[in-house]
Amino acid sequence: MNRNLYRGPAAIGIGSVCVMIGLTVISLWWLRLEQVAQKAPVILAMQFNTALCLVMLGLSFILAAYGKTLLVYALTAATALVAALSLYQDLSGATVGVDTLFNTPFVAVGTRAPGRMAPNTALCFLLSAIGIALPRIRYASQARLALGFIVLGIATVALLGYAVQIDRAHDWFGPARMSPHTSFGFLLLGGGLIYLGAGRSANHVRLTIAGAAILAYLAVLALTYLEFRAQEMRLALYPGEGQQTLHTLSTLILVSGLIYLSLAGYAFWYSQRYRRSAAALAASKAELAGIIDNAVDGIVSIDTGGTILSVNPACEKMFGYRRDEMIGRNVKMLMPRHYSDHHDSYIANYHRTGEAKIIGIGREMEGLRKDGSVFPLDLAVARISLANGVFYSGIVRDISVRKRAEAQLLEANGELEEFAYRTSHDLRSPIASSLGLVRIARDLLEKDDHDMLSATLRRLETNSERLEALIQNIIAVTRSRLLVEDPVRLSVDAVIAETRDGLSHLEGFSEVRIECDIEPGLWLVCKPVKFRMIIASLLSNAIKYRDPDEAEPRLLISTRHHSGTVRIAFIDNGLGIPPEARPMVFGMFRRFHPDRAFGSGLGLYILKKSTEALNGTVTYEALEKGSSFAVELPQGETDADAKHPGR
Amino acid sequence: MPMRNILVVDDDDADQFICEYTIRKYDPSIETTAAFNGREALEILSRKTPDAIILDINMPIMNGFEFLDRYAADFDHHVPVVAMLTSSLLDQDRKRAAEYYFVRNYFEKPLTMEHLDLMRKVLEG
Repeated sequence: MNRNLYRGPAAIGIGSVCVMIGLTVISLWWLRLEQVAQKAPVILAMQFNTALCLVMLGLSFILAAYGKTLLVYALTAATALVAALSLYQDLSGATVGVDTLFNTPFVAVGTRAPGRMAPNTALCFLLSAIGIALPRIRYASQARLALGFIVLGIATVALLGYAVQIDRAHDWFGPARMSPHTSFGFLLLGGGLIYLGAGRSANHVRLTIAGAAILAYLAVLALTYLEFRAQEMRLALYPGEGQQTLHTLSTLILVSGLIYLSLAGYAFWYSQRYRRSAAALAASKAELAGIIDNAVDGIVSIDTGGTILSVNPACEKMFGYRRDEMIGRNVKMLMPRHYSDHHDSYIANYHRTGEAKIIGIGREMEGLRKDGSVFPLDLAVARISLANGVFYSGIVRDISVRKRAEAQLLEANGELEEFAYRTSHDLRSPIASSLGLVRIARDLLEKDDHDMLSATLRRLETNSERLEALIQNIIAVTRSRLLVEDPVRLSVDAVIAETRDGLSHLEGFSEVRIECDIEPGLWLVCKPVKFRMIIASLLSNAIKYRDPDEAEPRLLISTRHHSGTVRIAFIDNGLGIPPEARPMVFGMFRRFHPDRAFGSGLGLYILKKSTEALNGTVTYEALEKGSSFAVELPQGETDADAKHPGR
Repeated sequence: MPMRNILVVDDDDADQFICEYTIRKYDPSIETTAAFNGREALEILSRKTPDAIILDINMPIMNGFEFLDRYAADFDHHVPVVAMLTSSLLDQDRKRAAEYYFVRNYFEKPLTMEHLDLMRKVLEG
């Protein structure tokens, strides 16, 4: 027995009606109202036992709804016992005294023995009791459905019998009769069992009840036919047709019944099919809505005038408008001015000429968000022609990320191209010079001009050294691009001191007075090789490009540290950078003082790239005398800090 | 028109030396002036007009093309022969140089006697 199944007003309602019918009849039996027996004997065709059993099963239904399992078992068992004993008496002919056990009937209506319930009634009680008490086992639902089906069938046959006055329908054996109100009770109980057995599937209830009704109708039809045929035989209607007895009327009944039945069957089948296709339609509609609602791309539909008909949630997210802010307005609201100005003419032109600018093609354009920002999007539009008109469906995809990546790629590519161009140029240049110098050297050798020859050879040597330095620098660029290193915690003070030591051999180093204003204990977490490269490059530039005419060449290295950023500034009073060259100070192959020191023109470019690789920035500021370079780098955090942020 | 003096615009010391030596060897009577970038060259040109210019492309401060732009824009009278002398083997540089009517030659470094001969022929018509 499944307690949950019995919950709900249906079970309680069914139970209550049964109890009321039963109690009414019981009270009549107890009160022994003779008038009832005379005026409406059919009421007393429900025997006392029958009324009692109906009350008990009605109560079982109600109690089951409240989960009183033990009581339900007791009541259904008692009912089943009374019903089984009654049946046994009918089948065996014996009398065990159950008919008059609780009440001595004062009248016998529609029964073979006083007080005995009819066999069809007993059978229905037995089946209903089993159906109610069925424990929660496998196939319990199906069994309950089947039991309900039989009970409902028997009760319907009986009721139809009353309606068309075929006694055989309710009187199975002799005068023993299932009374109309008993039949009604079983109609409820059988229906209730089907309702419970079907669980949540309303379709099963419909199918079973329809099946029971059709079967009952067939049974009554058969009984009517047999009855009529017997009457025709007995009365020998239609005389004068020879030996053959005609059965026109009974056959007509049978045929019309069968036609009616097939029509009813067809109607039922058709309604089932309609129900299924409606359900399938609803499911496919829901599926489609699910796909559209969960699509990553925005899907928007407009009518031929450009009015927005529908948008999906992705559109709301992409454009920042709510659905109701878009629907009903012109789709131009989602485009920047330079597109929206032409949209109407696009649509009109398409209607006039059929020439598609975008429909069925797709293109990149721009979208306008609610906040006024413009973003690149990919748009594909399809023309959809339906019976009730034409509309357009657009699929939009935000391609900001792709566009950004594209721009970065183009920039990197451009840089690479520039690098390749400049490298080929600058690499060839010293070789061409060497070639020229070698030719001159040979010329001088022939002339025996040894002084000049020796000077030329010195130039050749310098030239080769430059080439070597240039190649070293190019390797440094590549290395700084490719080098993979892990960040470590570095002391800014220590790195600057090491770099000063390392560059002390540089020509002019001792001439420059270096002052340091470095926050004691300042550290940062970054990639050591790149960081050292940055410091060395700034320091060596300050020394190489000092002003020889300056009485006291100076360099001030200062640090500042605030909100997770370390700023290191190199301020010198050196040659500075000519004004016209300042805009491309960090460009590739830029030499500003060719007469001062040989440079590849890559130093500041490498500096910038290294700083960017550390997520930092480098800025140049021209001073009245000299230059100021400042590198800002994120301080980063050490593992210890990350684990104990409070420290 | 004889080739009497030539302005050599090149930032590289070695290249200046090679040009000077080659020109002297070709014709010791030709006078040479050295400029180490485009800006210096413009300064010199504002004072005197040589018969020819030998111009490098890749120079700091003001490169060859920047010089040509300024020279074309700011000067009414131009030197009859400007010879590009560069280590660039790239076609795009050659094409760009050819856009200036006064650029008559395009040579690859190093400068040779043959180059100077070609320049003289252009100058003499």
